This record gives sequence, C-alpha cells and structure tokens, in this order.
Amino acid sequence: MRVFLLICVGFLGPAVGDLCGQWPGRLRGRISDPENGSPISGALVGVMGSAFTAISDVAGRFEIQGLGPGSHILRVERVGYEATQVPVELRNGRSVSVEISLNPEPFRLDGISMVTERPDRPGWTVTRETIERSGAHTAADALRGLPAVLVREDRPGAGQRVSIRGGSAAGTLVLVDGVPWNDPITGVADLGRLPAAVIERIVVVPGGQTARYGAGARAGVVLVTTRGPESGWMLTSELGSLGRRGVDAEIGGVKGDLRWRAGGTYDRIGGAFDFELPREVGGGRARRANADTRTATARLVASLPLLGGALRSSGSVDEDERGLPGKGFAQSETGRSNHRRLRLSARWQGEAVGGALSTLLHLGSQSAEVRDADPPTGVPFEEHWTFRSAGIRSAWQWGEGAGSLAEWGVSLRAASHRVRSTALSERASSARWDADLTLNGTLTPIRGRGLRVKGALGIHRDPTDAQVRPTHELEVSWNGSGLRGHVAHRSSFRAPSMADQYFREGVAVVANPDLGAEWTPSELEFGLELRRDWGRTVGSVGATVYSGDVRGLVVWMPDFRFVWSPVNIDVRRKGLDAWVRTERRSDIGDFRIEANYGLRHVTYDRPGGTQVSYRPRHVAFGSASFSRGLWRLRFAAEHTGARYPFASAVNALPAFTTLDLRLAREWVLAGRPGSVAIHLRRLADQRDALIFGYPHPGRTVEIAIHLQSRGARVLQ
Amino acid sequence: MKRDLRWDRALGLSVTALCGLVCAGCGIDDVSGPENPRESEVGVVLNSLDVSLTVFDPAGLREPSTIGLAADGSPVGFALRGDLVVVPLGFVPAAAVVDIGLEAVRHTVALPEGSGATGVAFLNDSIALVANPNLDSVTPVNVLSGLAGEDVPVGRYPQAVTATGGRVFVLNAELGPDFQPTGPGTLTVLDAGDLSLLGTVRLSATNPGSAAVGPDGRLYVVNSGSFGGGDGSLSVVDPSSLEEVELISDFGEFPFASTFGPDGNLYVSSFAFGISIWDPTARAFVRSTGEAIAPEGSSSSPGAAFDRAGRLYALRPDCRQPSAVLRLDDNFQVEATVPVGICPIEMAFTLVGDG
Repeated sequence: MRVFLLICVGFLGPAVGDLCGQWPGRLRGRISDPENGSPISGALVGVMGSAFTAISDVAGRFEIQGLGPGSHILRVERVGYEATQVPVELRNGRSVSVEISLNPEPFRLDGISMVTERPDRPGWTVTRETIERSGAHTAADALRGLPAVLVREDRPGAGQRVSIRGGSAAGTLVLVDGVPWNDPITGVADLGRLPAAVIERIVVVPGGQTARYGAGARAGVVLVTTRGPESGWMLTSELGSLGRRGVDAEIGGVKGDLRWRAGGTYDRIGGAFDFELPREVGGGRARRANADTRTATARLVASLPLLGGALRSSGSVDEDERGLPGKGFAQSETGRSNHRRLRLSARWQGEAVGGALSTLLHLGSQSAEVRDADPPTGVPFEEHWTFRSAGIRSAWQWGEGAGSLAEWGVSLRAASHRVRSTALSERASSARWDADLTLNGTLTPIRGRGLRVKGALGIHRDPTDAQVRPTHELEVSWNGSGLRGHVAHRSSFRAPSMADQYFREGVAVVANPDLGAEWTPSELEFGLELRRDWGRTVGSVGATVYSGDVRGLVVWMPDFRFVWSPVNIDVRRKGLDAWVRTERRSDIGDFRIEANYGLRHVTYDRPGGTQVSYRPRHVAFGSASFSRGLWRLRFAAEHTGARYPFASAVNALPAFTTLDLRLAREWVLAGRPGSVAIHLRRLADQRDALIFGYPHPGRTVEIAIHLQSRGARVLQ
Repeated sequence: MKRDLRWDRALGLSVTALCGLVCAGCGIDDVSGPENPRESEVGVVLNSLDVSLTVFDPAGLREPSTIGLAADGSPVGFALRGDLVVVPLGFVPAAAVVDIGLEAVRHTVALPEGSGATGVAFLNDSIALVANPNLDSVTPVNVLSGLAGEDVPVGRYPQAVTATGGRVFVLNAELGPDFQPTGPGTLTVLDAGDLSLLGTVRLSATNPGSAAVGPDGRLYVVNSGSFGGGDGSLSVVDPSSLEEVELISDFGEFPFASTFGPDGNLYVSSFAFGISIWDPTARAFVRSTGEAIAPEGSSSSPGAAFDRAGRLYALRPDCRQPSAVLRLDDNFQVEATVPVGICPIEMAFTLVGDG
C-alpha cells in the first residue's frame, strides 16, 4: 500500500490524489485513567496538522471521521491531565481503534515535569521521573516530603509505614494497581516491601476516602500504579554504606498482541553500625547488630486486547528476611522475621452495557514467621502466619453521551481472607470478609466553566460486627484562570484489624475484642492553588486546610502493669498542607524548587489535650534541583518537628532536619543510554529518628549504575 | 525506703526540735526547727505512662510542676531523699536521678543491659540501690556522681527494695519467664554498708511487691499474689531474726503499695479495691478490702501517702489520660484535687530546700 501511495503521490501529484482511490478512514478511541481504568470525558482529541478534532464522551470514547489514510499524530488534552501525543496509522477506508491513557496532570514546562504534582483530585502525584531522580529504593521513600505524609522507618531496610495527616498507619489504604497492599492481619501497609523500580506513578489522596476506595481509607489513600509492559531491557546495580548491595533487572517485549515485561530485584543491607546511646538511657556506645535485610522479588506483567477491551495481568513473588534488633537500649541478636508472598491479579477494562467497565480479580498468598529465641525482655517466641486472600473490584461508569454534563458510576469490591496464625487468639475467626458498594456521580453544571460537583456514597460491611456502615463524600471544585480550588465534606471509617482485635493474650499483651471501628464522621476540607506562567518560569502555590475529628482512633496503650492492649480514643484533628513550586528554564540549565509544609494539630479529645504521641505538629520539606546537559543535581532537606513520645506534653523529642544530596550523570555506552548516580543521605550525619530508641546510622553513601537497551526510556 | 523516710524524718525532726529547745534554753535564737522557713514540703507523684514526676505543694500555694524523666521507659517506683529522687526506668536499663528543687534530671545512670530496673531505696545520702529483676541482682548507684557500682546477686526477680536498721531488704518476687509466680517470695537481706549477704527470708506467699517499716520496727511486706487470683496477703517479718513471723491473708486482688499512717495503721492500696486499712496492733482490718476506701467512688488506687500534717492523699489513676491526686478528709471524702500525669502509680512527700 505504501508503495502504491508513493507512486500516486510521486507521479500523479496531490492534485489528482483522489484518483488513486484514497478513502477516508474512521478513527475510534477510548481515553482512560491508567490508574483505575475509569474513562476520561471532555478530553480534546486533535489530529496534528489538521482541523480534525473530537471531544471524548463520559465513557471516554471519541470518533473522528473523514481522516485520510496514512500516519497521523493525535494530541489529547484534558484539564487536569498530562497532554499526550499518540501516533496512529489509518488505512484506506478502514476503521481503527486506539486506547489512550492520560496521566493525571503533571505540570510541564518544555518537557520537564515537576517533582511532585497535584493530580486532578485533591492530592499529589509522584511521577516515575520523580522517583528516579530522588534515588528512592521503595515506594515509601518516594513519598517522603509530601506535606500530608509521614513515613516511619526505624532503620534503613526496616519496614516503612506511611500515615497521612496524623492518622494511624493502618488508616492509610494502599492500592497497588487496585489491589490492597495492607496486611490483612495488622491492617498496615509496609511500603518498604514495594520496590521503587516497579512503580510508574503514585497518587496520594489525603483525607477520608472510604466512600470512593473502600473501608480502610479513613485517613487517606495511596494509589500506586506499576509500570506496564515495555520493550527492551534495563539493568541497575547499586552499592553503598551499611553493606548495601542491590540489583534490578528486567526485560520486555511484544509478541503479536501480547506485550509483556518480566523482572527481578535483589537487595541486601548488612545494617551494622556503631552508635551513641542517648543520654536518657544512660549514654555510652553500642553496636547495632542483627539489623540486616535481604529482599528478593520476581515479577511479570502482560497485557493483550480481549473482548473489545484490554486485559492486563500481573504476578509477583517476593521474599524478605530481616533481623529484628529491637531498640538501641534493649537489642536482640536473635530476633528474625521472614515473609513470603505470592500475588496474582488480572484486570479487564472495556466497554459494556453502554458504559465503561473495569473488573479486577486478585489472589494473594502469604506466609510469615517471626521469632526470637533470646529476646532482651520477656519469653522466647516463634509465631507463624499463613493467609490466603481473594478479591474482586468491579467498576462501571456511564453517562448521557458525548459532552454530557453528568456521569455516574457504581463499583463493588469484595474480599475474603482465610488466616491461620499462632499469634491470634482462639476466639479469632479464621475467615473474614468485607465488601463495599460505592455509588458516585459528577455534575458539570456550567459547561466550560471548570465547575464540577462530585458525590460518592459508600456502603461498607464491617467485618468485625457484620454491620453495614455508610460513608459519603461531596466535593465542589472549580478550575479556571490559573486558580483552582475545592471544598469537600466526607465521612470515613476503618474496621480494627484482626491483630487489634484478637492478638493472642500473652506476656504483656491483652486482646480487646470489644474494640470498635475508627470513625471520622465529619471531615471538612478546603483547598486553593494558584498557578502562574511567566514564560520561562512557572510556579504554583497552594494550601489545603482540613478539620475532622476521629472517633475511636485505635491506639495500643499499656495499663498500670504495662500490659499493652488496643483501645479506642477520640482525637481532635485539624491542619494545613501548603506547597510552593517553581521551575525555570534558562540558558545555563533548568532549576526547580519545591517546598512543602504540613501543620497537624492532632490532639487527644480532652481538656488541655496534647498532641497525639509521635505526631509531629510541624513537618516541612524542601528540594532544589538543577540540571544542565547530562548532569543532574538534587539537594533536599526534610524537617521533622518536635513530638511527644507519650500521651502528655512531657519528654518532648527535639525537631531535626536531614539533608540529602544526589548527583547523577547520563552517558551512552555503545549506543545504549545509561547513568551513574551518587547519593549522600543524611549529609550532615544527622542521627535522630522519628521514634525514640531506634538508632540511625547517620550519613550513608550509595552509588547506582544504570544501563538499558536502545530505545528504552532513559533513567536519571 | 521512701516510706521509711517518714519515720526517719520524724525522728530527725524530733531531734532537731529537741536541739532547738536546748539551744533556745542556751539563749541562741537563730536555729532551724520543724518549721524551718527555708524548707517546704512537696508531694511527688510518679506518672508511669508518660514517664514523669509531678511535684505539688500540699499547701496549694504553687502550681504543680511536671518533670519529664525520659522518652521511653516503664517506671513503677521511686525513692526520695530530700531534693533527690531516683526512678528506675523499667525496660530502659537506667535510673533517672532527679533534683526536684531544680526540676531537672541530674543524671541518668546506665544499669546493666537488660536490667528491667524496678525497685529502689536510698541507703544513705549518696547511694541508692536499684533492683534488676531480669538479672536477679541489685546495683548501687551514686546519685551525686551518677555512676553505678558492681552488681550484687540476690534472689529471683527482685522488684522492690527497702532499708531499715542498717539492713537492706530486697523483695524477690520469684517470677518465672511468663511473669507468673513460681513459688513463694523471698527477701534477700544485705548489709547496708558493704552490701554483703546477711541472709534470706522465706515468705509464705507469692509476689512480694512492697514493704513498709511499722512503728513496732517490723517489716510489713505486701504480697501481690497472682494477677487475677485475688490472693493478696501481708507478711510480717522480724528484721532481726530474719523470719516471717506472721502471714495475714484476705488482702484481695493484687495489693500494690503500702504506707503507715500517723495513726499507726497500715494503708494498703490496690488498683482493684482501693485502700484498705490494717491495724497491726489489734491485728485486724479497720477497713477490709470489701469496705476499702474508694476515693470519689473509685475502687482503684495504686498509692496513698500522708503529708506532714497527717492528711491522706490517694491516687486516682487513669492510664489513658491525665489523672489526679485526691486529698481526703477525716471521713475519706475528697477535699482537694491535684492534677497529675498519666497512670500515677506511686506517691510520697518530702521536704525540699527553698533556696
């Protein structure tokens, strides 16, 4: 055909082109959010170099007719999303369908995206580029510095828990490609077990999100999108202080309609270091031992068209072995933990029954072992867990047609867990299931004014008492003239975890089967963001204020015998998330500066209530990046404010600030792009930690070397 | 030890007063006496969950102050002598030496790793003896220099220490790894001078948790028994013959602390029943556990103490939020309330210098 066209064009010329039999083709497509498969309506689709345009309907569909055969480039734009260009090949008189994904609005200037971005909903997006530039090892590392987020890590290589706006770690729901990452026993998501190498994007939506994402998202939700199939290969190797060794390798390809990618990660940290015991425990020097970590992960992802839609399936198997050294003043040389996991999921998304349908099935299997033959206090223990889980999440979104002013959706989620554990009481049921039904709608009352009204109603089954609990969200947002804002009102809840309810009674632990759910009955949020473009410099400034008391926050507290038990306490909560970002592109290089500040007024609901323990009232983060040619330099500072270790205003731990510096250079070896990076963490040898008693090694150095095949994305 | 101080102090005050009278007779009018204006009485409360001390003025002239001890720990007891308070920090192997006049921690003395530091008593103005229940030993601590001495082995799971008559009595709970009693408790008796072993007193009941020296010079040891067992008891020990001379049962569920009142009766406190009163002379309950004092209607009080004026104070514990000390009148009704920290567990009074 190409030869034929060439002959026509070359010899007969454009004036007689029609004589060659060119018939217009039909281009159909669907635009969706890759994170959850939901359709994106109102997107402008234009054929570059022509006047052909279309707007996607509520199902994300569009159609362009009359376009001549040949190669075209579609440009897709939508407020709140990153504009993208997609090449298409139209054949004579044929109909072609394309699937287009739009990423939530990274703020771009001449091809450079911001470090962290505001997605279309109130929250933040951390892009793949940001993750690569930050040198993050894990998903939790990538979230450091976001104003609403606090990452707890007791030592390098240890578990990493993320809490949002002063909530508990178990109140943060983490969905990885829609599959819950939270441990079904403890309710806590360990993002230290999710390698940064597999992540395409992370969206953090603070505030109660139960009505949209299901029970568990009481304080917020972290939506992780992993990288899809890519062709080519990549290899990254890393070594550093504390005996850190790591390698990540992957390869992908295309076979027919099947696209796939497979990879593996291995990380090891020796973890030993000398440290000073704090004066509060008598001082002196000690050596941190039994602090090693070894993690291995293998993964596979594949996608192919199926039944008019797209099927993406993924699987991973991972294992980690960690020492459990305990606190610095009460170290254990024998405490160990071992986890093995298998995760499988498959998601189909396409059009059905007049709307867009997305269905996700997931299976999980995990076994774990925690033991200490000679603990510093208490009796030796050896506990085992095994669990199997299966779940389904199905969403159906529909509207009134192209350019509609209203769209609606319904989603159903159900999950079943079967647990066997020596650590749980005999009263604990071995099976547990929960479910959510969510109805949502979006109204655009005035076309073209950027005003939107969103609502969601969630109905949830509380697995602890089999009661049905409703939650809601109502949000009004507007976007125009560089200013956008939103007002939202929400309610949310989280059921206690199995460990909270049924931890087996033992030495210094008493279960509390009467434990109730955490509730945020009324949360109000107001946010504004102003964006400006001064040619080569762009910037934004914004803030969100929120207020929402928590009823029955689950907290482990001891009694007078120092026997620990989970209890429900009421907490008053209000705060502020603020940010400033600017980028400038100049002749000497590109600059970007980012600053975040979080104020969390989280106090016990009692007269003169003090800040909840280990919730710093002030947190701040700043980073400055400079890139010139093949060089990249990034300097970051993270401030953790003073915090109380107990439920009263005494024994405050001082605030501390850590500094990071990362320098990277790209290069090309035999036509293959690569990079070398050196990363100095805690540059000033700062050794404070969020939680008292866990020594930190201070300054560490890491060197990473990356190499990839031609045509693959360049990492930095 | 701190309870003994009351008697030591009474004796000291008496001697001082006698000296005052003698001096007055000699025509010297500038003397110190029991009403020394440069000394004032303060109440000291140990708040176990927020690891702090609350210092309050029983006269109510000053606002209570709070002294943070450490950012971690599980303290359940203390000893005081004048301005100095020694607080073992529990699972943190250290003891905080606090100057309540300065409202600051003067030293944090490191103890042997895994100590489980719990009981403590002053032996003299500079040495306090701290029990290491996890190591079956006691450690002498110099409160002035902040240095610890050599460990001294004692019985199994020592959890309290008291000193009287030049002897140190270490209360060994004889608990097993699961913190349950493995048998009757014992007392290791040491010489207060060189910490040499003088003998062992074998008790008839389990889990000795506190002791007080009575007006008769005998040692009254409260046995907490098994938690939930309701088998609390009182052992009376002759400190000279080093023998248990009497065992009184019916002290109910987990009696915790004890102190002698100005009436010569023993006030035994418990989280479970409040404050019972035992008359050692009549060898009978004044108020049994069934009719124990329940301040503000709460039958839970882990500690009680008397101020210099002989007024009874009781702890009203709350382990989830700030609590209170209640001052009771003669009818055991609340006549004053002092706010304290979270989960107050022990209380005592002392005289401190104003200057």
